[in-house]
Amino acid sequence: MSTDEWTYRPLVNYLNTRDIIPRLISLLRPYYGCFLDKICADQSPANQYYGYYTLLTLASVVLHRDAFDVGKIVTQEKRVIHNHQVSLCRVDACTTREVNHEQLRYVDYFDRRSKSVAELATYLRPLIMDVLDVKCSVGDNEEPNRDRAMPHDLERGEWWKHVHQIQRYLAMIPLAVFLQSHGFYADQYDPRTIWNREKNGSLMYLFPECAPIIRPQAMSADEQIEWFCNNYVDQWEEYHASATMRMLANRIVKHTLKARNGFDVGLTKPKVEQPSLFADPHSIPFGRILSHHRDQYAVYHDSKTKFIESRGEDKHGKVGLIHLGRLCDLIEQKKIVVSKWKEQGCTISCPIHGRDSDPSFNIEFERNWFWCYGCGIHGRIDRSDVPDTISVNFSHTAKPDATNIKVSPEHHRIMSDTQILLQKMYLGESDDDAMDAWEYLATQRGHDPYHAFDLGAVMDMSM
Amino acid sequence: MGWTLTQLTYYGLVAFSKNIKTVDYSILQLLCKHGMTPTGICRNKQYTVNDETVEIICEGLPYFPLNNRVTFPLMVGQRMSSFYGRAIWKNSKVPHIKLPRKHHSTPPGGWNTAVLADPRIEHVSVTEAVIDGLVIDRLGGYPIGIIGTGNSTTICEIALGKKQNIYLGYDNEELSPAELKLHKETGKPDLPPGQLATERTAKLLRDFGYKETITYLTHYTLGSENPIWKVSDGSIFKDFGAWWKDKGQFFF
Repeated sequence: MSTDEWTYRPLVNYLNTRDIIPRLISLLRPYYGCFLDKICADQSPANQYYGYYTLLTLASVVLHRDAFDVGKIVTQEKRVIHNHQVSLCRVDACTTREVNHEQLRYVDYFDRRSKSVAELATYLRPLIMDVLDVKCSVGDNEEPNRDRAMPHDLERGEWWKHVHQIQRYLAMIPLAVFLQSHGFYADQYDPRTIWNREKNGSLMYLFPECAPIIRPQAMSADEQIEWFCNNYVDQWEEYHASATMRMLANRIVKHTLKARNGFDVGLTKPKVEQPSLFADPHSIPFGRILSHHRDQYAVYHDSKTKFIESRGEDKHGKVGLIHLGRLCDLIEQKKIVVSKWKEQGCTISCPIHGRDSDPSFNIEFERNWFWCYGCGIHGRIDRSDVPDTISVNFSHTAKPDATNIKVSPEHHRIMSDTQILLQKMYLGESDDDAMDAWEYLATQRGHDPYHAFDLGAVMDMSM
Repeated sequence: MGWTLTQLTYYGLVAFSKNIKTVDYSILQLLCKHGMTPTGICRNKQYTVNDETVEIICEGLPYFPLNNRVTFPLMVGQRMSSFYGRAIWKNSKVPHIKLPRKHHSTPPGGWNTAVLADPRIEHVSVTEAVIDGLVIDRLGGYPIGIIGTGNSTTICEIALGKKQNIYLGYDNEELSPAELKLHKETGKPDLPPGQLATERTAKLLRDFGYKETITYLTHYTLGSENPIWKVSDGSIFKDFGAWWKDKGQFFF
């Protein structure tokens, strides 16, 4: 069972047992009839998964349609469907899924006012919340993917973005209806302005304008949130005390108090002052610095081992000067941990801003130049304390370690799949391009094409 | 299970270029078969991971980087990591190519490195091109193509194995006048790049702790060890590929 299949199978099973999808399809059919037929045509598990994902996306689009700028909604809808086609069309490389753009015509011309927001929300909200809960639980149980740049994470990141967006919409709709019934919709905010503030269409910006309905007296932050939940959120039981609504309530109270008093009250933590440049190490509160940085920080600021000096500032930021001899001594004594060796230099934890979980202090020996991506300090390298006759040997740390070089399983899988595909085409002698490859190996190189094939030679992907 | 366009782009199997404007390219036709339109593919595509960590921006139309090339798989350890493509038309501007690594940092590895894991093999021949390696294989040896002379990943992999003796079979092509001039200016010895690479590779292997025998196959202008590969008629031996094409294929 592949990783993807392992991921989506619980969701598909859950949806099938709850009989959710047929109800969702029946509700969405007036809007996306043609598209739904295409989604439902293929019943393989993978296609079901992506089909259901599309259904949820479309449902969210229908849900928040009436509450926002229609033009923007349609644009958003097109983008979602465009992006999703990439997933749909590749679900199975062996299955050609002809997804055309006819559904966009439906998006543009269907009757947007056929159902009110409240009616649709009543129908769809519990269904989608069920599905989202299941997906959340499945996602939490997933094996952590250590390679953050994996495409699997790419897709999951997209998915989670949509999940949060849908959750925001769902949480917002009852409140929007409630506000509209109290006359706040037309008078106090313009959805177009709100939409333009953030491309993702987050509704968080709605709440500052809604704040006048909340009249909290002198209360602490927790009391204000509790008061809000008791008075306004309590009527929606499924959202009561949920993290999302508490966050929204927090935001409302914060903006209300800020609007009334002109400053933040109690909800914003006071800013912690950062240690100044080249501060005395004894004056730096090490409690705020990670423990494993403490020793290095002391090394940086010890008068005997201090290898960097301040030289003021220029238009690009702070300027410093590095004494190469002292730096090399520290590296050889292993008092400074070099995180990355390059051909021309190295990367270490920044001695200035200190808390470098991802070291960003780059030193280039050949260019006599250093800079820090974190705090911006930069400057020259002073070689006066390095005698010419002494060569600095970094080889003991500069060795590449083949045991650390890893190819991810998915990387290997996609390459081996490509190799198999190319092998099939290479053996297909009827193809003209494959014949070109055979001719090249046989006549221009004097090799036996079958012998080369045994060693992995294949032809390009020409179709 | 197929692969997404995102994955193909991420691993370098599909690249995008603004210079591609026609629909004659095979990969574009393939994508169109699967439901995409040229306009949909052409626009900029942006993929994000965790909202800010990784960003892949593609502009233009997609193409297969190894188009019209004979391809060979490259491996790191026991896993495939990339492809090497040799152009099949003459006078190509880019005769050798590996899959682009724009979006990930996995090293490309080397060709046929699986022989390192076989304990029965005693001698391994290292060549800088796959075509040369095919000749070594035809002659009965066990080749490894490191694709260029600076692939320290594969050299390090060889050194860590420490099981096989190594034959270094780099090229011995003549220096051009421009290269000769450059070598004089920079103080380098007047030796071809392949010969310099032989010295460098041997030194690198020793630095990595490799203790087995290293033998020079084509290196006979420097050093005390004579090359074991000589040409009987006295002509300059350039590389295995050219020798096989001109003479070797008629003897073996």
